[in-house]
Amino acid sequence: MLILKLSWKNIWRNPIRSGVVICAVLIGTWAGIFIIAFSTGMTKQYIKNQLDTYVGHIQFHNPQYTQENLPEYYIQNPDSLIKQLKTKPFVKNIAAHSEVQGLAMSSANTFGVSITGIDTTEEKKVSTVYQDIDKGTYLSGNIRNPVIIGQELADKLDLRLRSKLVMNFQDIHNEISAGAFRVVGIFSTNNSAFDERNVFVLKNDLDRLLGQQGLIHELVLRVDDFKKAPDYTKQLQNQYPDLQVQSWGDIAPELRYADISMDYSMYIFMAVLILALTLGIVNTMLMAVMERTKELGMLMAVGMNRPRVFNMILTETFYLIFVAVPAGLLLGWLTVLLTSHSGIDLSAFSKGLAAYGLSTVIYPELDAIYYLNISIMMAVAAILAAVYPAWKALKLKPVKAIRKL
Amino acid sequence: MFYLKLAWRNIWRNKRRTLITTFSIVLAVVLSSFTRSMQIGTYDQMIQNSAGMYTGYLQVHQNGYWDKPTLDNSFATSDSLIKKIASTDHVTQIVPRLQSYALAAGEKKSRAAMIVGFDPQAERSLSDPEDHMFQGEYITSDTARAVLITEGLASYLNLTVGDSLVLLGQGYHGISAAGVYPIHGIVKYGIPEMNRAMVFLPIGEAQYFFGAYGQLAAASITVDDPHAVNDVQKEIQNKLDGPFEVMTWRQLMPELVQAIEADSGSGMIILLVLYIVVGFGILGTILMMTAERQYELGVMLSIGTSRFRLGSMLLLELLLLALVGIIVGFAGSVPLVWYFHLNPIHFTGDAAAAMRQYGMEPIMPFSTDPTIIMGQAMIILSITAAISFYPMWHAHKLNPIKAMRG
Repeated sequence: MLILKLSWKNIWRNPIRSGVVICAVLIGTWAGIFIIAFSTGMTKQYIKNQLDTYVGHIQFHNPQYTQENLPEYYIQNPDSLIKQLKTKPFVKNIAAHSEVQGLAMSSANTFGVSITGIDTTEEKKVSTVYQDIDKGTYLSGNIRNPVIIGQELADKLDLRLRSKLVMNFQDIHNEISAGAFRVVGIFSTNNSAFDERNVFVLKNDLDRLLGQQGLIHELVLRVDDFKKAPDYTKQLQNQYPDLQVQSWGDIAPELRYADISMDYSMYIFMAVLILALTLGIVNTMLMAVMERTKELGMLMAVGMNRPRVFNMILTETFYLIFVAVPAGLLLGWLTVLLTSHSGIDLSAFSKGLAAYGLSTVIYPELDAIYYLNISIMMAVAAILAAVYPAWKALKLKPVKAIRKL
Repeated sequence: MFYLKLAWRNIWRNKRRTLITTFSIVLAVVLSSFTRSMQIGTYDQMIQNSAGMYTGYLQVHQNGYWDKPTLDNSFATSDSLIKKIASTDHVTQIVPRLQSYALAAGEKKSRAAMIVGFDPQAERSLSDPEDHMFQGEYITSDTARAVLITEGLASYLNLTVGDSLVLLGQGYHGISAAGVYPIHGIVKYGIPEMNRAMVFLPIGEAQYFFGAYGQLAAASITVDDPHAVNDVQKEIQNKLDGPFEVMTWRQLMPELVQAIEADSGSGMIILLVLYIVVGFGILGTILMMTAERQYELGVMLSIGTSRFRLGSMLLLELLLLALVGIIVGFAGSVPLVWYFHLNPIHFTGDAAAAMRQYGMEPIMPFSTDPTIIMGQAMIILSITAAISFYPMWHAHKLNPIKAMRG
């Protein structure tokens, strides 16, 4: 009890010293929270942008279609499937596509493309390509056989607005079919490989050329939270064993890779940060013990035993941590709260963000559980950091210590 | 001069204090170098993965080929041309290619595929089909009438080793190109775009197939030092008099440059936060040091040392420590970074699987470029120098009587 009181008084006796230790732990806690929130916000935003543009969250195919890529492998009885899916609480939107791989030919060149037949009202709910139209308009029924293509494909094939584009492909009876389309719009998303390889036409037009109306090769679903898509996928796969159900991570492995590699570098960086912080506290506390050599020597000389000196210094550190960690948490939480609304403008650092599919403004976000994890890690690091200086204090020789200037 | 001497003696007077302060500076240099080397190493790996996988660090084409990659924009190659490029500093290999799209057909199905006329020896340093053989055997002659196809194309067309592949397309200046080739081997790449639809045809046969005798679409170049590409580009451009464009990976793969730029923005923020933390570690030790020497400073003031001189002495001491700290920090960072360069951190579990699936080695690479560590050392030096003004200010404010009573 005496020790508790003594430690408490010691802390207030030298506010600068206490302030330095409190600030070090506070800044460490704040930095940990901020960095994790910042990176989480950035990765999530990147993945979300990509998913919104073209992948969707979950896709349904006929399993043979994914293997052979032939239009004859369409989804059987799609209407009842869609009706059932729509009753699921986590499913937000569904779009149905007919799709075929074909050759796009212009007078200048020939290129392999994936042709997707879409229903424009449904499609706008699962894909933001309609917002990326640079020239011309989105698909509409005013012109016969309209098509929208990516800027990259337009360059490759030397196509402009209102150019004619002939596409060759196999129909559902494996006969060669061809259609002449008119370019009504050119889009430019942040994924140029996508822009090079995908064209969109009206579903009715494509179905007619494929030889059957109402064909569906692909269902694209949006769910309430894309992070939960892998779980929903398992659930749906069990319910529909005859169909192939894939989540965004299976469809676009590069996005899953971005997600995971970000996590990894975060862990490594947290380790570096904690090391920096722990050693920073050790140094400050060591200096603090040295500064108090005379005082500690005096305490020992008047009869305070070594375990008590040790306990006193440890208790002091505890007090400091119990001020610093909650304050750091509060500050971190406030920073995240503030920046998650206003965003952090990174345009000064890099020009490439927008083109890469990231906004130049990052909105940090963090799940509640991380606050707990970070505070525990910080507290453990700080306590470990306190043991060494306290142990150093034990080694003092009272007589020498008092003599010291 | 006198104060320099005094500062020097002060440093040695209390070795432990000196050690602790220096250590905090060394630590700052080591940790920031570690973090930055990891960031740069990741970018180098991204570049290596993309450039070394297919594109090469530089490419030479006929002017205008990159904007309009058709066979009509190919160029006539010659030994003297290749020799000129090969004699440039840093160039390790020239990989000649003649590539264009054509329809590849099996018995029932067909797909548009990229036909790559390749040199079986030179190609080993880039896409290296030999190392990615899945079935069958590599082609070693550059005039063999046979093809290698990617696994994605083989399974789509339902073809296997020994079957025939029909190629149909457009050759040089619009002549029609058609041929039937036995499949000698199947190659498998981790990157989906590469695995999807590629046909490797020996370059001599490809020139015959496309009717482009002695022509190349592109000469890809590998270098021993990726950081020297700009110099290599200039030198080759100067040597080749003619309508040639020499492009570096920055121009060939703008997406990669964007990806790196996007990431370096967040990398900067992370470094900034790290500087705050290590800077605070240094500040803490220096604050404590000043507090510990209250008595001594009080005595000096009362016997008549001017405040300015006292402050300069403290500043000098810290700058000496900072200098030692960053030199030791530099010396310590180099082996650390090399250690992690040679024994990189391995990814495990799902992460490793996802990376392998994407054709990347699941490791966290480190760059050993000494200029990174040098740069970090300079930044830490400036941070320490800025902090060192605190003791000076403290000496300016010090009340000698209070200090000595302390």
